[in-house]
Amino acid sequence: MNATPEAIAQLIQSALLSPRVWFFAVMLVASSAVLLLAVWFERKAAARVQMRVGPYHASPRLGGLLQLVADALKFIISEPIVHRGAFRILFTWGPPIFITLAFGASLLLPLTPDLRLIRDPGLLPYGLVFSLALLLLVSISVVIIGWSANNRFAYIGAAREALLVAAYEVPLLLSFLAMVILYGTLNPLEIVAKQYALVGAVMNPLAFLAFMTAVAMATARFPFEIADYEGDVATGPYSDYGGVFLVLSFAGGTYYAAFSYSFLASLLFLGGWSLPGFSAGPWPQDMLGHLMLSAWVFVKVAALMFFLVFLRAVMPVLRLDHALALGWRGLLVMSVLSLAWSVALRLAGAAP
Amino acid sequence: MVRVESYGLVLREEGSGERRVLEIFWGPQHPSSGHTRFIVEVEGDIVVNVTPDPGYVHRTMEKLGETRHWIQNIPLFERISLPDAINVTWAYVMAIEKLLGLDVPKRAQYLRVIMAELSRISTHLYDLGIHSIMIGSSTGYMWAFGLRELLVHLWAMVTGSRTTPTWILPGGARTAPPDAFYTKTKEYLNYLEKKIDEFVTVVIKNPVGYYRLRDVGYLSREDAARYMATGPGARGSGIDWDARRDYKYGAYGEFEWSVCVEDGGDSLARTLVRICEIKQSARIIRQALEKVPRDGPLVGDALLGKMPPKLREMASRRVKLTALFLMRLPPAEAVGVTEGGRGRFLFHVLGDGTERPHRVRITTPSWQNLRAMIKAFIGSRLMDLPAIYGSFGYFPPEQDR
Repeated sequence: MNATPEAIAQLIQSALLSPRVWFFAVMLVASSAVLLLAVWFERKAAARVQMRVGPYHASPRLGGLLQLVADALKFIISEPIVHRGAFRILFTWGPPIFITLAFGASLLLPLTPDLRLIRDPGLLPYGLVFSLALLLLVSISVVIIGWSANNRFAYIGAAREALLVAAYEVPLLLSFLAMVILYGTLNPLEIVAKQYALVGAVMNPLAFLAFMTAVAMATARFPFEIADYEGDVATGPYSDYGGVFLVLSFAGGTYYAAFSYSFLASLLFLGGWSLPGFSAGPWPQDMLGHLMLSAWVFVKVAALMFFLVFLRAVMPVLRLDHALALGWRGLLVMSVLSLAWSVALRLAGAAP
Repeated sequence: MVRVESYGLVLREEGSGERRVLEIFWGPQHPSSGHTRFIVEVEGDIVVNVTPDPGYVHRTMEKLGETRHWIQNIPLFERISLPDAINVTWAYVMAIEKLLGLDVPKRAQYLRVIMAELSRISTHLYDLGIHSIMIGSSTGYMWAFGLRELLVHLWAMVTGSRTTPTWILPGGARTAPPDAFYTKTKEYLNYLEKKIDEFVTVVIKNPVGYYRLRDVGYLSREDAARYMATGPGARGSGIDWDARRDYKYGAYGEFEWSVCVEDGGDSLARTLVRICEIKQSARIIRQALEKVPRDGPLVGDALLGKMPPKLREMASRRVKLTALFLMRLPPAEAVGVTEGGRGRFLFHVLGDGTERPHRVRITTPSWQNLRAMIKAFIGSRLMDLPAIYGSFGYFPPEQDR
């Protein structure tokens, strides 16, 4: 090994220009920024509807934007308590598993044609499927959390989560399948390329509706905040969590899951990075173009997340049996219809 | 009975194991149980039995009432139910007035009606707000409490206090409202009626909210009567009873208004009774604001005669308590009944010739509604508990006295 200064400099240069490193950096920064904005929007929009001011005292010049940072700091420096009755291993490992699955899912998807973690184009279809699989495993970690807490409210919450998973998982997968049949490919690069003229949400609106409703159920957004419904089961599976555990699961993890779902939905339904009249050149030369395209993706992600969080301001919580009925009757039928619509488009030769 | 302990939960099996029941201790430290405990037994998602365990906020009101001068009981008893402070104290004062033979002038009668109806609106807004957050609508919660905030400003104008008015006195009222009160109250009522319709749209007619309330916690008319439900708990089940109309206390006989009755018997019906009563209260207040004399003594002749001339002159603005402090309760008993926001308040006062009451018996609507509420709980789903609880306006501090 002759580590000449030139070789080291070249190594650093290639690391600095590596699309994987940039993908990581952009995803970490942008996901935090999108979450910060979404939570801020959630609080401010709800406050506007409710005749209040909302967060203000932390960073008044930014309109309370940094309140979430203050909240997170407060939670992180508070003592994590593991109560005596808990199953220690799963109780402490549940939240890290939760957030790893929730955020890890979005790392398997491409941000722009070149900014991606999976370098081999032949593996990209697996990345798409695998990210959905990881997101569906998040609910398993909720059940793990609820079981390990050894608390009846947590237990009931976990049971409810398990029931809800069964109700939303099939429609979620069917609407995903409908889009895959519509595009005739699992490769996210081709999926986005095929939405150049018309985005997926226009080509198959039923699938979009079913997918977003299932996402609202999967990420415990209103009106499906059932597993952690404050009215009867306190905070459900998260009842005994505090401090950093809460940040990683309920207070932060669900938002990361919503982020990943929205990212997936923006690629499947909203055309991802495709911007008519604009395409980025090859990576390191046209770095700015790629960053602009990724910003365009994040705009779509943020729009979807804003929709999901705004539901809090207008909706009460649906009852468990009604939510299950909605999942098994409404969503299932809707996703089957969307599947049929996709097949029909494909058979008629109208699919892109 | 066999107790099966497995990891994570304790199940109780009844009989030969066909019914597996999970006991939940719902409260007293729970986001929506209030300061009371319900031992809820669920089989799957269905509530099969509820055992109430009240008493966590018992403040020995009745015993404290025997230990002090009867006039010092007014600020004590309004703490039974602060959102409904005027109606609580009115019932006590009514009993005292009967014991002491005090008369109430027309002006104070109308002012009392205005303040009591504001108190009813305040209670209903409080209950609707709590009910909204219980079924998950934070918007309904904030709107109701925001509207109540404007109302307590009106209270502060009249009495100097936002939450503890201590305003009704035997023989009349303590302070006269400033002129601005009359116009501000009308403006408030206009805003309230507009906003309460928006509340109905966002919370009750919202499809999610509607199905949380509809057909939930059914209480039949017979059961409501048998368990002696009161207030919206009874009127939501079709029982047409209201102390204001049936006893015609105060000046209620002089106004045009109707008693709100719904036949549904479910949470939705009880909530609609609340909404309707807010509107009827606004109707009563509007009429009373037209009729109330703007000048004149705040207390009746019996009390005025006991006052020194200087205090008598200022009795149209403010009443000093000196004369009342010198009065002793005769050895007799009297009952005062008012219709509060949540139902009937009953005070039974026994005097013994001293300044302290010998005994004060208190019945509060939440205590009366408890058994009816338990009846409505049983058979519902676990997620319905908050929707039923809130529809009765159950208030543990009021129940425990």
